[in-house]
This record gives sequence, structure tokens and C-alpha cells, in this order.
Amino acid sequence: MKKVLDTMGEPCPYPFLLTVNELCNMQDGDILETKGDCPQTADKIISAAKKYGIEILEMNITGTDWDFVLKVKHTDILENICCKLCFS
Amino acid sequence: MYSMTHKLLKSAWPLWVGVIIIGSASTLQFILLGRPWGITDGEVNAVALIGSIIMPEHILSTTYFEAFPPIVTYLLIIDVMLILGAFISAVLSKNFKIRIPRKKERLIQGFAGGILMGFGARLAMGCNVGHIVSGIPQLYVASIIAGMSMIVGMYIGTKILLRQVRSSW
Repeated sequence: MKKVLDTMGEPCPYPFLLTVNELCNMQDGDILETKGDCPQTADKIISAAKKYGIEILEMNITGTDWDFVLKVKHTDILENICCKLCFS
Repeated sequence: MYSMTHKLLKSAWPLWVGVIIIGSASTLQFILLGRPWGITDGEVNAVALIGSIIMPEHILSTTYFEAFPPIVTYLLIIDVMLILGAFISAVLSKNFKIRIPRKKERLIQGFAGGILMGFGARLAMGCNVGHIVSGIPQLYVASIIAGMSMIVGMYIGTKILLRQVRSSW
């Protein structure tokens, strides 16, 4: 399944939390495209993907706007975060 | 060279660099001006300035504004420069953009949150900066209590925010 999350115009921390919320509620192997224009979030998604062990399939950052295509994988660390935030 | 300027202007700086800069700026203010840094005290002077144009009798007859007269104070200048500095750094890092949230709730949230912040900062006699950056280093008991209460407030705010993220999308 592929899902697009458009957070254009949303201020920090919504874009990041909404992305994590989607990751928590999707199945392993699903594709999530998340886009927005909150500049801090792009850095945060890159470092979080690394930390959570989530693969970034595509990444496009132009000016303030960013667009990531992520492959959902429920790693232990992601599960732990989903559980803590009650996202799943 | 490109990656150097990119690192400096575009990427987020490590937290500790920011902490050292804010700490040094606050220390310099204590040394040079002999007074602590605060944000909202200067804002009250701005309110008095605007108010003295719209309703001068009210400003002159309110005892509270005797402590915050309609004049440009050094804290008000710092407030203006703070916004200007943040604007310059946003432009330099190409992060400047007029963002209009699609969800109209964000506008209501901004309005309600702003009123609560303004009211809270006056009730507590200071904001984040006045209490945490300036007050706690002076071991001012009211600042320590205000700081702890802010943590409680943020905890409640975060709970509401997470609930919103779970349900509204």
C-alpha cells in the first residue's frame, strides 16, 4: 500500500509527529510519502530514519519544501516510540 | 566551501552550540547592563506605546503602566533585534517562507495559545527567558517555581497535541 501525507503549511512539530503516526499505523513494506515545508522537520526525518532503521527510498529538498518516500518497517526502536506516543 | 557554508547556514547547529551562545549573551548582559534579560517586560512597554496612541488616558491612569511606561527600553530594543536577527538567519538559510496552515484549527490554536502565554507571562512576572535564563541563575525562588510549573504545563500541552495528532488526520 502507498500513502501520501501532505503536511504543507503545518508548523513544527506537527509534520514530524504526523509522519511517525503514519509509520506506526502502516504495515511492514508499505510506502509512505511525506511532504511539507517546515525546515527543521527535514533534518529530523533524516536523523530519525537512521535511528529507527527506516529506509529512505527517495528524498527531495528544495528550499524550505521537502518530500520523502519511506519504506515502512516496524523495527524495535520504532515500535517502542509508537508505544510511548500511543500511536498504535 | 559549499558544504562548509551549507553546514553553517542550512543545517541545524548542535544543541550545545546554541546553549553556549544563549548563556554567553545572557552573561554579557548581566555584566554590561547590570540587569537580567527578559522578553515580555519589553513587550509590555510596546503595549504601553501602542496603547498611548489609541487610548492615552487609560495608559496614564493605570498604575501597572507606571512600572512599564510608554518608552523604548533596552529590553524592547532587544526584542525587536531578536526578531530581526531570526529573520536574517531564516533568509540566509533560505528557510523564509510565508506558511499558511491548511487546518484552520492552527489559527485558533495560535490565537488561544498566544493569549495564554501573554497572560501567563504577566501573572508569573516573566517568560521562559526571564525565569529560566535570568531568574534561575540568580536562584530566585519564584523563577524556580515558575520553571517547574512550565514543565507541568508543557506536559499537559504535549498530551493534548499527541491526542490531536492521533485523531485529527
